[in-house]
Amino acid sequence: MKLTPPKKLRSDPENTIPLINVVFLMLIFFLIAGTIAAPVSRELTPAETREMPTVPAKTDVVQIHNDGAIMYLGKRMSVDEVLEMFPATEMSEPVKVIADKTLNAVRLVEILEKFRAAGHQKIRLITVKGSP
Amino acid sequence: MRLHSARRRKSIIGLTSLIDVIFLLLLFFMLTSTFLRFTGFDLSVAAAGGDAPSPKSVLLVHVKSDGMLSLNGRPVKLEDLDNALSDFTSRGVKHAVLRPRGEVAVQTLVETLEVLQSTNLTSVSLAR
Repeated sequence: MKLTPPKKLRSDPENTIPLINVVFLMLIFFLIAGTIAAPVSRELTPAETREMPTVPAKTDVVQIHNDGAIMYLGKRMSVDEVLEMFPATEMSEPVKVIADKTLNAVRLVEILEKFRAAGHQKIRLITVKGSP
Repeated sequence: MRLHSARRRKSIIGLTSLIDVIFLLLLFFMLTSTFLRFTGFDLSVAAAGGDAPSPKSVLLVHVKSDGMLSLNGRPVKLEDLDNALSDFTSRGVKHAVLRPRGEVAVQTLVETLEVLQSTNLTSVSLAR
């Protein structure tokens, strides 16, 4: 009589141990393999490169969609609004721009010229490493 | 024997809260992590109407909508760009200005840029 109730209690946590094991392994996988960064919006497919060295993902990236719309931090902005967010000073980091692969290149250069006119000497075009 | 079973019961409570926290952490990392590998080009954009350093040391690369390039007016395919560029770089060309013409996609521009970056040009800039 005394033996039965503790046995039931004992068997319960033992079943969860493999579950915790798997969950823990998944946690470690995502910790190591993934990088935490603001996601690129789904409508935007970045241009692909093959052999360029990789750079760490950044959050302050200006996104340019294939219709030329500029998105920053999830909001649609005009060029002037973006330039307000990135004042050009001597110490400022290069502006990081990620552009859709189907965007007209002339349109991209037009936008980048406005950045240049505002005093940004360096602009970094972010692309994605494709399969080699 | 009874003491043993009592100890085990205590560990049950600790385990569930542990799973709880681990599960939350797992969810957080699953949702926030990206697996894209980013690369980047440092560009300088030629100022509109700005003055070039000296015309002889600058290579003008036009990218056309049919995928053809022209290096200072000489038509070149993208695959042959590497060889054609070595002609210019051996003559002391240091800067390249990349100009898209017509309906050129950014992808084509980036492919050209990648080849240009792999050569010993010191700077590549974009212009209209």
